[in-house]
Amino acid sequence: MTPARVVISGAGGCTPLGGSLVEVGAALRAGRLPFAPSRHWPEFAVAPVEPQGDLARAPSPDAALRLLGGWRHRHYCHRGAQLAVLAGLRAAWDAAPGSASGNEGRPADWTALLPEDTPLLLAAGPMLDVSGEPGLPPGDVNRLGALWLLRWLPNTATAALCRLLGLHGESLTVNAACASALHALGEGFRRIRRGEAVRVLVAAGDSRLSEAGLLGYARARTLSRRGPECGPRPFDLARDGFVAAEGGAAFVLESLEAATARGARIHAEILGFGATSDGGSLTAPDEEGRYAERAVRAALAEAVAAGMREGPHWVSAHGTGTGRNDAVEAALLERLFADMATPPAIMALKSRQGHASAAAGAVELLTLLAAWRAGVMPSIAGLERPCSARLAFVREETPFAGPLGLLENFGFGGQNAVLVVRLWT
Amino acid sequence: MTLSRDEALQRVIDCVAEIFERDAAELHARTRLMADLPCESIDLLEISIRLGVAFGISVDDEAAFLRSLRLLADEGAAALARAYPHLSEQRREELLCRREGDGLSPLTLGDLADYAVWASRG
Repeated sequence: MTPARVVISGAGGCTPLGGSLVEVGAALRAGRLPFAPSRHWPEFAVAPVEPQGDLARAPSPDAALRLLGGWRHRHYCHRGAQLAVLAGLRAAWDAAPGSASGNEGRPADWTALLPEDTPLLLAAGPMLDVSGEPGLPPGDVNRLGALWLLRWLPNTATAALCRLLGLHGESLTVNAACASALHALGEGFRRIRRGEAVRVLVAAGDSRLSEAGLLGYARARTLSRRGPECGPRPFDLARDGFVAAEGGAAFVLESLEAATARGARIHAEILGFGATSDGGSLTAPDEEGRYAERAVRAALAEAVAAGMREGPHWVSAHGTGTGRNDAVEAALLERLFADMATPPAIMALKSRQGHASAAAGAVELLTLLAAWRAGVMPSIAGLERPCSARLAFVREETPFAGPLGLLENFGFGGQNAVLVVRLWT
Repeated sequence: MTLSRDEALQRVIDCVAEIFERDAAELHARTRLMADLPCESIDLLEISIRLGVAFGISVDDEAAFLRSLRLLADEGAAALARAYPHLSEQRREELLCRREGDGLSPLTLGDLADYAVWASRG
């Protein structure tokens, strides 16, 4: 049996740059950067999603936000989980026949947007908002609700999204640190490719901007100290850490055959997926990037087998802005691509929207879709003295050289994931 | 100081209003928890624990939520009186007569207030 071709036929999100492809594209064109001082640790910059606090208090909510805001059990989802749910609703609506791109309008029935047996794969980060749960010991446990635990369980977002969209197929919660979202996308891709599903909803959401959430990174000394209004500087010699973000993004993956048959709007095609583990340090990447490279090669080999005959034209690097990650990743990219006649353009989207942890890969894919529609590759913000002279870092806005590229995410614990995509016009 | 029925009812209403995101003024003693509000099992758990804290009592869900009302009603008035000593005789009589109703639990916020007053006496 020939493997099925897999396309993205629905996309939605809630990111520091906006809540739709239209908004994110506009933010990219305007060069708007979302960095602001943390409310809890004002010496650090963060990239928040608006509105901060209760999402339901958005000044002009779209239909997805009204559904979430009107669901009184939403408080059982922590903020990262709510971002995943909101993104999932928007992606399902975007995939529906007749929906406008940009969250406008309102479905007649949310539970009829996707077939009820559609599997859901949801990439979730941990709940770290300890001070947001004041009843925890040694506090007064009488302040804890009966089901406070739900906020701390990783699968609550998954259960919530299944409920709101009326999904009754397989649902899984995925975590692979900062490579979680790409792993979820890769899993969804494989299921459709192998003919196990026609359609899969992949959602991701994470927020580490709470007092304790940010403290996790601050104590590990991975955060940039450039200034509370500044973004990180991926691949710059002066880089000093990443900037924490929050966000959600979700996609409806579908076989090309099914998407074409129903006349769906196609955003992109997924051509390959590779994933490996360093099996080394619990935090630092393998110094030679051996297993990250293996993941890139595996994803590219699968894409070539699926018919990719040129490129890649671009790479969306993990590019956190930390000393170690960017050194290892730059060396890896040099080994793989520097000697090509036309080396791929290297983007580092975290320079424009921060690091959304478990949701990073999905948020970055959404931004790429928006950039493709806007017609320009976003430059790496803050890049003044590149750490490599052999790589084609995007230094100023340039048109895409082509539609073929790869997304990389390399997580804490050495979990590596790479996705090869073809952006569609 | 003994807890008055009015005071107990107000506390029950405040607690239920918060859980269902309703205005407390919309709720009253005859509001039926399961029939008039979109009550799910998850909500009963929260109500139980909140009433426990609000009144400093240990809530017996079986009695407070009239869980076995149908079975007990079949057994008759004496069984009902043994299981729900917090309800007035008049209320128990009403429950006995109404058991063939719409199938939804007739439990009201007033019943919860009566339970709280009774349980607070120790």
